[in-house]
Amino acid sequence: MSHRPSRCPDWRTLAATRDERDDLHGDAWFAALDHLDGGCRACRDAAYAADPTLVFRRAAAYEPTAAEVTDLAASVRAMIRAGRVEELPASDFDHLTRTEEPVAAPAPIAELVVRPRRVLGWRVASLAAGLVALLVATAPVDHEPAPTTVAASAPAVAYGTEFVGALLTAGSSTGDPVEIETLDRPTANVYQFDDPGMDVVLIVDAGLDV
Amino acid sequence: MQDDEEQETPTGMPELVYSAPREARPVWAEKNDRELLAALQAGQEAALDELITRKSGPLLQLAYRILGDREEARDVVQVAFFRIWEHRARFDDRFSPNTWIYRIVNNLAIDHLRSRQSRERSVEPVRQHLRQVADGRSHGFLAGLQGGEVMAIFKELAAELTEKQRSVFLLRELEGLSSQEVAEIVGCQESTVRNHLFNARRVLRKALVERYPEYAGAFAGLGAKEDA
Repeated sequence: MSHRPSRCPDWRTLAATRDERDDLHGDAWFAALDHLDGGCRACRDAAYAADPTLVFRRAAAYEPTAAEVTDLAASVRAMIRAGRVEELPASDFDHLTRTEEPVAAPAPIAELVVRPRRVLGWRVASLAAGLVALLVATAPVDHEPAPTTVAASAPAVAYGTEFVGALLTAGSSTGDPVEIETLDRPTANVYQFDDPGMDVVLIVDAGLDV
Repeated sequence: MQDDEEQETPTGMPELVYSAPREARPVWAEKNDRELLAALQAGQEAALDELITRKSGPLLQLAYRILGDREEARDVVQVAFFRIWEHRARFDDRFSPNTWIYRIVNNLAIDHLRSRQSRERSVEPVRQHLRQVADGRSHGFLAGLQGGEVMAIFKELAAELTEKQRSVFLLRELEGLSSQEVAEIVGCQESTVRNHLFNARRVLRKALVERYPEYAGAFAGLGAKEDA
């Protein structure tokens, strides 16, 4: 419904009346706003003079494109799916993270990362663990493949071509495993991503609620 | 159905229907907001897609105006829709769906704003840029500002407002919701909404004149001209 008056409103009176009265819904006020929003140049300055805050009606609008809306819907669906993964009982959860399947598991990893409830905790935990591992992995040692030794207490599974054992021995001159942290956590998973020039190892512990 | 939807929308509410092609969503597009929420409560995830399609525009707009950042607005609205899904059972049918949804977005945006205050970048560069713009325009400064510049000014000056003042000003003055709706969204009495609105306007006017004296000059000039 358009309230637009045929001639320019008396902005000074309208603004003063609006400030004095409790009723904020006067038709005259809305009609005047429609008039202003319609782009009348004749009374625009008078309107801003009467109430400078009216200028904020011209603050940039955010009109999303259809593609943005589609992306938004997809992101929300991903969050919902991630929430469902989180709700699964441990036995069901295991098959997503502990299978012996080859590298075809980026999707579960992604879903684990997009956990809306504790997304910050996950990110911090993952980042911290990853950084520690990265520091050790990139220590100045020769990069001959080290003998793979797995800490006995680590129930970890790797989604890469090498296991974390290489990492555990890489920083040790004696060849003994370098213990980052005792991995006696049944919920801990280790992910390794190989890239030329850089190895990234991610230790994710669902039980570590940071 | 469309009529029902329009009747539900109180006077002054912004149009919430996204103008996507209707043939792309044949079933849910015919449902009104209340029916969509009922479908959500029945676990029909497809209804959420329609809700997202329908509400994204105004909700992104609100979040953007609170936060002054498009990316953050997208993040907030994304989380808001997830919350709507997760908490769908909590929706009370006695209230307006719009009010409930706006409230979720408003609260999330305010929380986000609060959390980023410590890492807020300085607004000084923005102010300097705007001063240069103003110098080139002098009289009629406000009338000549572009939407992005107005948004930058608002973002700066709104830092002077309390969270409730900011929400009330945006919802009432810019989004055009009624005082009753704003009261439900913000969680206070209507009379309190009026107080917040009055104080928000006063703070913004004062800050505008103090920080942008070039604008105040134009204001004074205009007033003098009118008086003559």
